[in-house]
Amino acid sequence: MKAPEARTTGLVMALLLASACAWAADPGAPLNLRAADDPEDDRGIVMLVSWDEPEAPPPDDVQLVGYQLMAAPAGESLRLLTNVQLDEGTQSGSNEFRPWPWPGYNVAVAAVYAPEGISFDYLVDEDGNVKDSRATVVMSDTIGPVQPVGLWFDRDRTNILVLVVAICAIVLLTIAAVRGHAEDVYIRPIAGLEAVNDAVGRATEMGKPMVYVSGLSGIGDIATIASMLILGHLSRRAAAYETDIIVPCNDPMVMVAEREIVRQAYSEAGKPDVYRPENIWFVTDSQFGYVAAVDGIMVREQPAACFYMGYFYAEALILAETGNQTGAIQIAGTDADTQLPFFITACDYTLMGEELYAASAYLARQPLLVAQLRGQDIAKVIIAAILIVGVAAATVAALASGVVADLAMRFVEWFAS
Amino acid sequence: MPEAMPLEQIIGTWIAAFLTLAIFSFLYRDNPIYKFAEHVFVGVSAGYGVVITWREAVVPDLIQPLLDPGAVDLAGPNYVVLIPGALGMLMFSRFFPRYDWLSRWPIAFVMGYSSGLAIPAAIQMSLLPQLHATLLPVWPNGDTSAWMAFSNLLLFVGVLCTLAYFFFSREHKGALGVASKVGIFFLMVAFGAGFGNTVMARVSLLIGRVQFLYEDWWLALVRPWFGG
Repeated sequence: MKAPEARTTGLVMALLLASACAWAADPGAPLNLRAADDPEDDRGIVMLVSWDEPEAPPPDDVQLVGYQLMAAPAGESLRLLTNVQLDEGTQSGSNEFRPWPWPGYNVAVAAVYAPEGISFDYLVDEDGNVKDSRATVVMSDTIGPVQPVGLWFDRDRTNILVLVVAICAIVLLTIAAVRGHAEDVYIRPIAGLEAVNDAVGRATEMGKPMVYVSGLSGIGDIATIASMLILGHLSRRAAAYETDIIVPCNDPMVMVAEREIVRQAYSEAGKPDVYRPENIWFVTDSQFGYVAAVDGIMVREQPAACFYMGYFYAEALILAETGNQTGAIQIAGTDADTQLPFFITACDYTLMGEELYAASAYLARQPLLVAQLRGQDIAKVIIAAILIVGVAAATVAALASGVVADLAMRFVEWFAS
Repeated sequence: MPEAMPLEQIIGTWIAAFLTLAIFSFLYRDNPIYKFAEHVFVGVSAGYGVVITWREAVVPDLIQPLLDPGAVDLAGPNYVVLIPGALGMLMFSRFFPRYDWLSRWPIAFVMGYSSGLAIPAAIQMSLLPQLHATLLPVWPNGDTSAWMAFSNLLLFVGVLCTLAYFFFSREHKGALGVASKVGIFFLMVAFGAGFGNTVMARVSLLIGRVQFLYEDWWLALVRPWFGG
């Protein structure tokens, strides 16, 4: 009987040893993975994931240091969403899911093990992926597809909708009301715009060109669009007097649009033959490369007038300072509040903020633009009224108590974005 | 020649120092050296821009979604990108005068889409945060000191008066005239503060450039030639 007992004991020992070896090679994976849509998330881009810790303790030579949350739309390979440190627990939320049409996601969590003394942060690269060969990553089962679902109406943005609709309605109603008698609408004088015609006259008398810079923003920026409307007016005046206008561009699409605008302006002025497309060209989209080129143009061409209309960054002062040194009359207009001080310092006239937008209505006197300006003014009156009521409400909320204070605070908080 | 610095770094530092001094020479007057640096700068940046656009936009946003979807984590080709791709291709119609009107389509699309996007974005990111930040108690209470209440009142008056300055369809006379004058005062105070702040930042940029010329170029490369 001894031999079979010895064989049994040996077999048990061998099985134990084998399982110990397998266990050492493969520490436990996260268990009972659960994933669900975040009910508080109206956009449907957040998913809450939780899991249980691996049941089996890790082998002696390694320790659990953290988790990795992985997910991907069904049919795609899993990718890392976020790393979870051990002290953050066994749940995580990620807001990296795609909005509408809210695809379903496969989700998994990986447990990351490392030799003692090595923290999670040392194991991952700058993108958060585990690259260290000393780490052992054990994936859980993949669950899914789980679908984070958003609402068709984001309640947090109700105030934006109300204001957009209100302001658009005011402008549209004003356009309808003013359409027949737009020329009677008063627009206050804007010094910088009245100087535009003087600048064209000066350039004509001196026989020198004008330089027009339409900022460094793309064609979709409102300041660039406003700038192009001013360029159209300026080009019509320049065409009438056959004065050259040089337009170095920072954006190729802006260049194309400005060529069209200037060509149209020359045609409207009855001087299509004077139009010179080579005066409007793309320089470079590099900020300071562009500045170096425009500075050189200004110094070599010695323009009679320089216009800076659009959105500007750090190049504003460099351009305006160089233009100032050439002795040109300078008119600037921008809604970049950080650059306005430099234009005010170095230019003869500056259109501040919304004056740039008002310029097109002021110069063109088109009924639609004038009515739009009037509508914006009415919207400003309403905003001023909201300010007065809101400050009163904030003061009441701070001083009073009960229902009144609660109502006042709710009014103030409605404007939180 | 210092031995510790690799040859490519020495060449790079010399080129950077030469181009820096060439650009600074504009402070004296326009000259051929500045012109050379200007043309190098414009040419290199334009070429670099083309490469960046190709690598960061055309390849990952158009070519890979169509021809190599796995590289951008897609299960299969995404043919939707053909629409913006076609719009982009229309820009090349500028090279053919007979069809150059086609280039207006992508321009119109970008302008329309951007304008539409700008309206809610302006309300969400500019109007509402500034409006909400102004709605503060202007009377002292448990949470608001007298000084803080005064600051809040000043902010409120400043915002109202500045708003009055940007009122275009009424003559700035009477109360509106007074308010707009006060508004201009607030604007100029803000611009003055902004001017000083930015000038300080610009000076720090100049210091960085001078530091490069002195430490990386003069001390490390030039002075050793003179036995320093």
